[in-house]
Amino acid sequence: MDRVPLEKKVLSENDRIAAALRARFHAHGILCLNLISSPGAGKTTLLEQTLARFGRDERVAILTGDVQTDNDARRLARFGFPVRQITTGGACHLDARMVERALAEWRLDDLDLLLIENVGNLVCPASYDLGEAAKIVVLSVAEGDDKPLKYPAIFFRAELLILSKTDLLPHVPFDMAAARDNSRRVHPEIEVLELSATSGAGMETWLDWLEARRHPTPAAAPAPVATSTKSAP
Amino acid sequence: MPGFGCRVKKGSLTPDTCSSMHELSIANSILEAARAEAARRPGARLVKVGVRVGELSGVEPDALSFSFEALVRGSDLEPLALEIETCPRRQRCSLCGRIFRVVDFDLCCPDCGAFESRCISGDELEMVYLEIEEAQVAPAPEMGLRAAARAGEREWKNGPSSLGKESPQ
Repeated sequence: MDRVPLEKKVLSENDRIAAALRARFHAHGILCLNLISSPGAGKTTLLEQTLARFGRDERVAILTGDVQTDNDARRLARFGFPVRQITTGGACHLDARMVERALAEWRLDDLDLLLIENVGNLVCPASYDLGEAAKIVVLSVAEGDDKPLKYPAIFFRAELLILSKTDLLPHVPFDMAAARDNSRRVHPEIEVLELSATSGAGMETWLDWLEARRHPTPAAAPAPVATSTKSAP
Repeated sequence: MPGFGCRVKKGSLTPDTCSSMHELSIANSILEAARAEAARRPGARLVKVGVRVGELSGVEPDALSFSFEALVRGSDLEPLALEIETCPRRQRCSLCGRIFRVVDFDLCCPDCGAFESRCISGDELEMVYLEIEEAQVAPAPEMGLRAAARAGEREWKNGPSSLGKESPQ
């Protein structure tokens, strides 16, 4: 009996494709963001309201993933920017190969922002690197403020937490301070924004965050990240 | 892992099980990697695969074992076994350098009480090893038919006594 050491990532094939995508995005000056939440947290509405605030000359495109239907792509296509639906047909997350295929017909030279709306799921998408510059987790106030503790993997990997649907706060028992505290217990460096895409409150802060990531000042520009893990060497 | 995270060839798992079980697609990735390794060693039999799963990886070890067994059952890889090593979250204190295990999300350094630290383990999802039974060496061609037959006879005679001594699990 031989024991052969392997020491490679289980998802090394996905990671290989993601690394190639990340290199392409970097070469074309594209900021790619991967939005992740449970189903119904408001990712599509947030994207609609974001696109509605963009000028016609913005070089932005959207990939949206769902298990079935192209409903989200239709909602997002109304704003006149390139949108493509990825229907996973059962898979609970997007993987790098799906993104690679979906991008095949777009000229990356025409873009400088790619927003990926992942399949609604707080578990699986956390494991799959899509070549994004950052993962963003969206948590609506209609959910539990302890979700960061229940699903730590995604809060650990996300750079930004968006607390959405804040217009519902008067009607739900969600504790904003507890949600922030819980997310920081999992990931002390996570940034947190509060907004309501419906009322528009907080949308400016989100657009400012996007703008700062798209055009970082030289001092604030983060070094290109080679992997999506947080592990120190 | 082309396209779909999980493709089930045999057994009773349905697409519904697929979409609700993250670990099934992870198990499938492990099997694909194991198959690729086996393909480089013609005739070898895969016995066991070892993986490392961090508590922040988002992968539940019990569900991964369940999915792995379900995928292996009835497949060409049966009875391939899976060994999972779970890795707790560990942080290195940025002030005093102490490495400590994080329990219940408590990020306070037990030595100096600082809250600034870096995560150094806990998000692993790695293949660690493969246990392989190499192919039986065929009789050398120059041995001749008669010698080969004698060798085969010896093997047959010794065979039953060596059963059960193999691979203590």
